[in-house]
Amino acid sequence: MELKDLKNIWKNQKPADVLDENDIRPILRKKTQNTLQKIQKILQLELGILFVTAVAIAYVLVYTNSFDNLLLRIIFPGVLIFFFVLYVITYRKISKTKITDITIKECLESTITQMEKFLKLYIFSTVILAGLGFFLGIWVTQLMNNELGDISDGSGSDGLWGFLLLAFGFALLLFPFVRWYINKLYRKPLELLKAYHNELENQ
Amino acid sequence: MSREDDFLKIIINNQGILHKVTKMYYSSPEEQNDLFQEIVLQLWHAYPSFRGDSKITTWMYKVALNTAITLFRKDKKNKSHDSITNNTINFPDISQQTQRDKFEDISMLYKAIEKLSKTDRAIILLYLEEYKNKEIAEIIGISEGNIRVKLTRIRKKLKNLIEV
Repeated sequence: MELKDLKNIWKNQKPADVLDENDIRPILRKKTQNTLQKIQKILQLELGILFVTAVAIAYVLVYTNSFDNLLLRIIFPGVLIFFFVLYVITYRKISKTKITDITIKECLESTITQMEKFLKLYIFSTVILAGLGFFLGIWVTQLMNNELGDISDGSGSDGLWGFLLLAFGFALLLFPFVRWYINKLYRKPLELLKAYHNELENQ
Repeated sequence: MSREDDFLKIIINNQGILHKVTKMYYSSPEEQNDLFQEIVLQLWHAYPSFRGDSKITTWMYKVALNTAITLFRKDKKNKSHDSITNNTINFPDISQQTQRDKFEDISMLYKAIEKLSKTDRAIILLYLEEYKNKEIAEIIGISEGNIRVKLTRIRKKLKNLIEV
């Protein structure tokens, strides 16, 4: 068989079952499951976690009467606001990524860029927030055991710095594991998209 | 006529495009159905910004192929290949066949195409749909010369896959 016959076979194919208005209209009410929408859902979840964390931290600060401590006043709101802004910026950029009238190559490039940014942010924020959570955990535990002293008058600040160093060490230890796990979940589809893009670029 | 009715009319009149794209990328009816729905949704979301600079069918191909290649993921279930394999398919000589064999032929053609990478599938689909190299280049986003080279390579791959 000659390859020119491929077009003849193609033209002669039986039309698929014809769908009418009643079949297609309900589809318009469904939710999309595309890659970028999935990333947006993860970002929404992260924003939710950030909000719950902020409320929990505020509660702990009020409960332990620690609002006067400068270190805590800077670290917690600073980290939370930083990630809140990053999440919102990433979310907005993904929302603006359209596939209308763009070429297949442009769509691949734009999706690869957004996925790479998201992965970096996801790994970075998971490690930092886990470190912060660790810090909060040991700090509250120590306060409950009355070993830290009254931090509102500054006498417990040395202990806080120690806990911060511990949390930093914990985050550093956690980093390779988090990077491995998040890459395991998301790197394969990204690499596949890069392979498609390279294939298009190469002659 | 509302925007939704207008859109439905376009989809119903051109649904063949969507069926061909879904069959090109997935072999199971369930996955084809999922991709079909996803493409319709992407077209619906993109419809307000369609300005009519290109033909409606070209726009539909762009959105459908972008969805199938980049945005839709069913990798765990997808048994299609991303690279060429050594498998060959027994393809009958169409010069001697009857009408009833045509269904079998098209199934075999889809099986051969399934062995191509996702981007190659997009190029061969547009070629089979009688798009000119220049138009294919505009949809894919690479040069016309590159399309020519790729089409030659794809035809060679298909020739290797199809046992004469």
